[in-house]
Amino acid sequence: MTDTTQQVASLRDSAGPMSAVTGWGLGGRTAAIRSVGLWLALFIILIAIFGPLLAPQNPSAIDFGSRLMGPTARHWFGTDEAGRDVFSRVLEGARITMSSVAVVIACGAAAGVIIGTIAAVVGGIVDELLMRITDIGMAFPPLILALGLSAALGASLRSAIIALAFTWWPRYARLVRAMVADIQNTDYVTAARELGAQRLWIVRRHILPATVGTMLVQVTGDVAAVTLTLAGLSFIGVGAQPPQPEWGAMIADGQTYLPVVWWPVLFPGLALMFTAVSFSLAGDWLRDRYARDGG
Amino acid sequence: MPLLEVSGLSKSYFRGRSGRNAHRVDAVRDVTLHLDAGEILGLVGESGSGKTTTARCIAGLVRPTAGSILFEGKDVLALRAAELRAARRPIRMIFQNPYSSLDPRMSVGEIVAEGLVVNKLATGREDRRERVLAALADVGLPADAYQRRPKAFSGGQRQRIAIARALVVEPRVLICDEVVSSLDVSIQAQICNLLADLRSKRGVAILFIAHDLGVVRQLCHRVAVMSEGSIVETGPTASVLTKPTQAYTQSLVAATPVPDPRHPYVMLKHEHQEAQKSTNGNESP
Amino acid sequence: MTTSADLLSVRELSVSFAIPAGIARAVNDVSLNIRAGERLALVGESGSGKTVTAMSLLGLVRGATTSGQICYGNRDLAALSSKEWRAVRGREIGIVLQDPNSSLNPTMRVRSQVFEALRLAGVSREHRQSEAVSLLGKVGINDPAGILRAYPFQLSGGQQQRVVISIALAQQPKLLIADEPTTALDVKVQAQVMQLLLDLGEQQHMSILLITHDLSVVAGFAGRVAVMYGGRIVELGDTITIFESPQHPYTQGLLRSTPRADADQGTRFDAIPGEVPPATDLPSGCAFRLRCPFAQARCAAELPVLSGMNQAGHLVACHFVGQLEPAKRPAESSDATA
Repeated sequence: MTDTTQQVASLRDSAGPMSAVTGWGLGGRTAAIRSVGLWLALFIILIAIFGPLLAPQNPSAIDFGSRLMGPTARHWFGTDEAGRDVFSRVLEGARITMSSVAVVIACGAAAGVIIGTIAAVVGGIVDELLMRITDIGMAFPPLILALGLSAALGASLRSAIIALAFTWWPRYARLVRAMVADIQNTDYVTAARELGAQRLWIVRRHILPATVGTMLVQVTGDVAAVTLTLAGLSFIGVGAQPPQPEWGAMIADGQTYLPVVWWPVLFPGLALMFTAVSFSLAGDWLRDRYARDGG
Repeated sequence: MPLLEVSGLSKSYFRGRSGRNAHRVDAVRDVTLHLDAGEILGLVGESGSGKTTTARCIAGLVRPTAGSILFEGKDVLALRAAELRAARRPIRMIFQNPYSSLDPRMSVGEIVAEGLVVNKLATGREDRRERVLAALADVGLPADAYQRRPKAFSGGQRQRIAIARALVVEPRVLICDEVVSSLDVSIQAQICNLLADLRSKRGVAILFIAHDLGVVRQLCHRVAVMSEGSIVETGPTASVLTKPTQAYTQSLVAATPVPDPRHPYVMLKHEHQEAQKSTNGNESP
Repeated sequence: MTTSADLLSVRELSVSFAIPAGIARAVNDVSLNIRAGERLALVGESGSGKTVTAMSLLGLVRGATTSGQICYGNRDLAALSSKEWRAVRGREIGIVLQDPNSSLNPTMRVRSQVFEALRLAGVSREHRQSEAVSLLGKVGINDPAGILRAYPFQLSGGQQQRVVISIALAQQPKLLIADEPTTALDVKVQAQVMQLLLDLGEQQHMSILLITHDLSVVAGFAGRVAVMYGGRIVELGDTITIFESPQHPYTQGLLRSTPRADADQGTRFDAIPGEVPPATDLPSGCAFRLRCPFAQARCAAELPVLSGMNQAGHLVACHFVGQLEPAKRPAESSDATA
């Protein structure tokens, strides 16, 4: 194929399934929509880092005199049942949620990459063994594991994080193993072997860099999933405990006052939705970008 | 003494589960050939003939099931690990597909330097850089290619990069596995000229694997014809391709189209029917 | 101008794509005609625009800006809607592509795929098996019943390509477009498949447009040849004339670069220096001028028009037609450019 034909083909492929029906996506509107996700995701990360410094009130400041007041100029998101400023709590919650998610994904990805790479590079019985362990890991539902851990270690954000990290690494292991197995068969790895390169060199110089693109896409998309799962665990009580302003926990606290007092539930809910959608879109955009540039 | 001497080389693969249902495929059967210093030996055959597997055995990518490979008199197959790598250093392979044989994430400079780095052949970064630039010049690429990525280059230019990668470690033998088969005709001619120049200027011997008899005819001193894992005929290119003695070679030559409209290459009807009877049944998936 | 013997007449076809690197002008003002029952070869290297031209004849180019006319019968194919195209594709114009492995659905048996083609040809269910067997026999398959039962991966490359040809022929189209049909096949199988196409073309009085980069294949197969470069036709004429007295420097260079099995060992390969220009960045005037040994100032300023020479039907797009010594060899300087 000529370089031109290759470019046109890859452009068409990266436009997504809808483009076949609508004819859009050939480098125009849908791409622009998705890049918004990237900016929003970056915005959320900034909020997570700097948000609590910008909080107008102390998120833990209890004030029974102004409990359950609606949004006003002083309390943009209103106050909760203990009189705390919901807006400040949402900002603090951003830091708690995002840092927890970061820990879960970092541990899961690190473990997954190591296990997947060893399995694919060493092969044979080691591969079989590691993949069967991965299968077992994949069979664990996050919820059950979290409940079990909270029973053993006591319900807390820390046990939720450990539980999630344990359930998240298998998908990375599988993904990386498949990628590495493919990359090992490429001509350029064969060429490196022919030059006399040893396994460690090939892994460091050729294989791992090739996985960065896909991993980045996967990780970004997973932020959305892990955020929601973590919030869910906090909601049912096995994650963050009061008075931590984790969004899921805030929703759990506020739901008894629904529907008249809607603000302690709506705003953390919106924050969750905003985060999940942004990171999802960002993940899609990254995937398209890598598909087009050939990774 | 020939530079490279291959004797009784065999490679068998086992498909399916071992034991009862083991299905043996003999990719290479008892192949014997030699390559003298400064010569270009062509290795031709159709797909499945075993020419690529033979090349990979010589390059050290595949371990043969039997046979010996003598390079400069030493039996390479009797060596292990570090000794083996050192003995094989003067033999370099260049692959067919220029779009997949270069790591898209590395710069051209890094790609060409890899052989030096991996084998610790340079005395430092400066030395490495100089050697890479010299190799790039030898293959006709400009110095500014050093920082660029492979995707900025066309197929023919990428093959030059691949050749530079092989040249930078000062090889004595180049194994070219169908290196011009996926290139356009005018570019193919450029690369063939480059290989011929490298042979005359640097004295490298070349094992040239191809399926296009025309290219082989013009480039190679001698040619070996392979079919179904074995060598069917060997000899000086001119005689083997003009007056082949073996039936297989004759059919191969007869089927090769010639760019001359007064000699229509599509065979006359009765020849075609003969060919169809014999090959239609033998076509293997 | 369409004469009565013309099956298909392409007039000033231009196709361009908007890609990240810019506007790719893949096909520029291509005009050619295919007569009933003739074999025309469209020759060019990668990037010449030959495949996009062929795909345009079948309306298979998406996301492109197209202008010009494709006159087939009394219809302009370039103006057809996708619904109208369905009546033309397969029925009037068939196609055979390069890689038979990806032309056939690997999850369906050969039988299902051939039956699908026969269904479109209007063959009733009861007759499909016998028709399929006869169709496969026509393309030279020895054991039609066995092949029909098989999956594509169980067949050899040559057998797969024969199946593809039989599917293309099921509706008895008047024109068959073959885009590099034998490039992926071994040389002996290649000869058989080309012979097959030749025989079928004659038996069914079907025109064949052969797209290829291989001049050797063209020499024994096509009656007329069109040479493309930079999205334009640079030379057009009957095969013997093109091969024996090529007038365009690119055609001359291409013929000289083609290796011959009767050449002498050790002779230098005649290469055309430089690289094919990308469709996004074609040189002004004549696209070949940067690699042409005869280029002058006029070549950059003025686009040469494809026009006739004394011999009927031999068209060349060069300002200096007939004034160039055909045997002139390009200088043997460095072959590569950045």
